[in-house]
Amino acid sequence: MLFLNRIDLCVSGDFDIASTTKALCISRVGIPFDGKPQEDVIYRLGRAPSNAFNYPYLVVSENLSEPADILTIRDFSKVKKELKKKLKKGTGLEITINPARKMDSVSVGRWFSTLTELYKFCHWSHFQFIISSGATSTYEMISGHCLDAILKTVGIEPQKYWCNLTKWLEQRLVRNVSYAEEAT
Amino acid sequence: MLKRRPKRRYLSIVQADISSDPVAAIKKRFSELFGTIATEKAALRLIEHRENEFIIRCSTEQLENVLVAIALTDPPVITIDMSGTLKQLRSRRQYSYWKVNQSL
Repeated sequence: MLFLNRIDLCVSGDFDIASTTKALCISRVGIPFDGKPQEDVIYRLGRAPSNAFNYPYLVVSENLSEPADILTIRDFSKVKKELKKKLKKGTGLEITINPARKMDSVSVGRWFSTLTELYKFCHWSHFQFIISSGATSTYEMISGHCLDAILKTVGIEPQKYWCNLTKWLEQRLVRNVSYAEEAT
Repeated sequence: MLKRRPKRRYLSIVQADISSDPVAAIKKRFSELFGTIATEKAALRLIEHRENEFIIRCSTEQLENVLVAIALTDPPVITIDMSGTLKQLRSRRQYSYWKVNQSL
């Protein structure tokens, strides 16, 4: 069986995230930093740390004008025009699955077409497309197989997507670690 | 032409809300996303359930779509395992993380 290095970069909540993600065939997970370091996780920080930060981290923002590794997209159609002008190439554009659960059938259909549009936009504009669960509890987590199925429905080959995301993540984490060393 | 029984997949799912029927919720979402014909082809059935853990069956032809529907169902449902045979799924369940952590 083919091993895929699946990554879910947006998970939060008060549960054993590391063990749960492993049980759901997800290799790496991104969580907010709560002051208690955990193994095998990537921390999502609101801004770049001014002091040395000895854990892997990514700077995440919803604001286009703030420098970040990942920009969370709430409404792609509203920010599409500004994205190319304001963002640096290589930035990750993240969309979460969790809000789609509450949507009606028409809105879910639109959400799927937004995913396709965002993926194409990222491909042509040299941004990294990121799809995350956005889970806030154990039951909101999405298994690796379901993530693959969503990617296939959007027209993305899962193997290629996970490979690209792993490469992008490694590059970002190496950059962030060196930044932390320079700051000390 | 030889008539063959369609292949099936057995999925083990866990739901937060015990009171609601996850199969009905998945079928509803599936129908909204892929249409009624695909829903019939998926042949979704509840096989067994214990507390908040359910085993459901679907056709392999519609497996990808079923997984998408599960991921987008409200109240949230997690797919914890899947197998081609019920026997194998049950044996894997005994040692799974979810079995150990029943309190989740």
